[in-house]
Amino acid sequence: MLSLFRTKKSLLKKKKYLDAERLLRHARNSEAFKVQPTLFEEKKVASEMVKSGEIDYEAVKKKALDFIFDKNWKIRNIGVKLFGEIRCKDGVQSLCNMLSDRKEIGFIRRNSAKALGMIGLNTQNAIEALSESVNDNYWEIRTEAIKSLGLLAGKKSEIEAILLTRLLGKNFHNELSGNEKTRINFREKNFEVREAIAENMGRVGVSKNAVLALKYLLKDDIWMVRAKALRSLSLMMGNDNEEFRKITSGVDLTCESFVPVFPLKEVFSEIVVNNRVKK
Amino acid sequence: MLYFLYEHFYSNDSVFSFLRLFRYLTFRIIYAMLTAFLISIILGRPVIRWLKEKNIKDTSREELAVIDASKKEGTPTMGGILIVFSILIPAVLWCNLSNRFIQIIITTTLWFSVVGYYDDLLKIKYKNKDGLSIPKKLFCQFVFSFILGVLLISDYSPFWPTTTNATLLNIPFYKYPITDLNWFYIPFVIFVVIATSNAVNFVDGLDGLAIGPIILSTLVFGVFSYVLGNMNLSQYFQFNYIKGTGELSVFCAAVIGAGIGFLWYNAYPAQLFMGDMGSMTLGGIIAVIAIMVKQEVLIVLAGMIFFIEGLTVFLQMISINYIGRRLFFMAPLHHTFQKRGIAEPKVVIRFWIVALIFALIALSTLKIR
Repeated sequence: MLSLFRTKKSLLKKKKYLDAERLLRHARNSEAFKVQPTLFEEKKVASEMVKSGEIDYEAVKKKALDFIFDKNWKIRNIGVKLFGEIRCKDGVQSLCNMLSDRKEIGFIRRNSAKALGMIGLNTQNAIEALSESVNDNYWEIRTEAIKSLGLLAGKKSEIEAILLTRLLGKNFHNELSGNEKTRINFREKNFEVREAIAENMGRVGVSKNAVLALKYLLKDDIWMVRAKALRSLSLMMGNDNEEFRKITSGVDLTCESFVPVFPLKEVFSEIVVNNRVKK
Repeated sequence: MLYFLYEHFYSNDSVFSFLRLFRYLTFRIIYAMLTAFLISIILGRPVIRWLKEKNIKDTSREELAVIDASKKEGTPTMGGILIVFSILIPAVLWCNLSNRFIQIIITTTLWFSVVGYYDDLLKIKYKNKDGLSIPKKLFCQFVFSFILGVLLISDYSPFWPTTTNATLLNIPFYKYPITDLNWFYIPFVIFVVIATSNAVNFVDGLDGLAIGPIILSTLVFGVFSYVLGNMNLSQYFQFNYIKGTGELSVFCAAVIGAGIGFLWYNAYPAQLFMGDMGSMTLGGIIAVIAIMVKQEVLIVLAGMIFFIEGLTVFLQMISINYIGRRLFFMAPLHHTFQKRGIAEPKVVIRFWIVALIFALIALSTLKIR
């Protein structure tokens, strides 16, 4: 009975979607794309892939371009993901446009931000689009934009200011320069975004303000934010730094989580899996 | 079965005079619960061993990778078998099997357990990741609930010949039925059964998470069925007396006993998962009992956890497919709390606390009306 509702058009659409999904899965599993974005050389990878009989890089690129202009948003979404997976530098402009287009579907914009980080091409357009998206009203876009900025921008005071504004508001200077408070009301209420800020502040932060913000993030309610802030602080200040030791001496180390372990699984992997590796 | 012994052999002055005990609901409630508990405790280990031998194990799901579901991979599932046996054996022993309500609820248990069993079988044995497809699952639930709806308003209704009208809709905190649903009663029954059984299925995601609220909501409906089936109590609380629903409290006791016994093995870290067979069956049982005691809307309070979890899944699904963005970090809601870095046992205990509070509120509606 259900097959009555399956029109030719819907079946074709489904076929295209399934093809796109298969291609994405293939790209994800391909070893060629599992290198650092900075070490990725498009032409070299493409020729190696042709030699080894793997997917044709140029054909995949062409298909990804076709997907991102599809009417169906789910296919467009896969196209965006595909651009990121194959590290296609030609797709950066299209991704920037999609990210900046406020009418575009939330998932597509989120994945565009993520793909820009994966491609790793530090262009003015990409940085602008990502910086703008840090203040988007959808939290997943904010999170991915911050993560990608952390990967692309490097240490820059402008990016640091953008992250601090997101975290504390426009008057972040006043918030940070006043008497040291025991607690700060963050402007950013979403813990995932705060976690991304804490993680990337260490990569982009250059001033004392970044250290102060991380110090406040060490008092966050969510332990994962505290953990990321701790890592960033150590990245910025160095583990042997006297001030770093002073700041971290009072960190709340309790948290609401622990990792469950089946001791037998550990024994098994120690004996059986390692043996297999040796063989 | 034991009730039949009382009916056929009891005589005040014979050696069988002790059989009068089987007449009392309270006695049968207590012993149904104890029997169910003992059966699930005793059968638990052999069932786990059998499931392991048959390789009926949980496989980790990709979408839960963020919370590392792979740690649980290999734990036997389809513990619903244990639950169903632990419910049905005491039910057959301690309930009055000639009671229409009991016949319906036993049929419910069998129907949903068969559907759930098939679903689990497809997932585990035939490695079909999604099990029974959603339309097929809904169709099975639809057929059952449609038949139930028709039965309840027909001449064969268990409510007949009391004055209680099956199609009247009661809501908590209000003394009188708010409306007569008439023919809309059938779609209403379908909605209640399908929504509840699927919502319970969604809740079953963490060790011990589903069974706790199930025990509490069954307790609430057990109390309601006892009160509504007792002429004096129903008059005192100003409810419509529904003849025969008292027997349902014996069945509820069996569900509670089986649930506690199952929790013995399902408590964190679980040795056994209930699978779809358990969750779907228990969801179906709660829905049908609520329908039979004419407190359908009370499920929202008594099973608040199911309602919230079901709602989050529904909203997230709509949001993802039609708006293209997430409303919640993850759905069902318990995964959102895990994503916030809260340990599994803590999430489970907190959900139990919420379920307990709402179960108490649901019980208070006996008096506050």
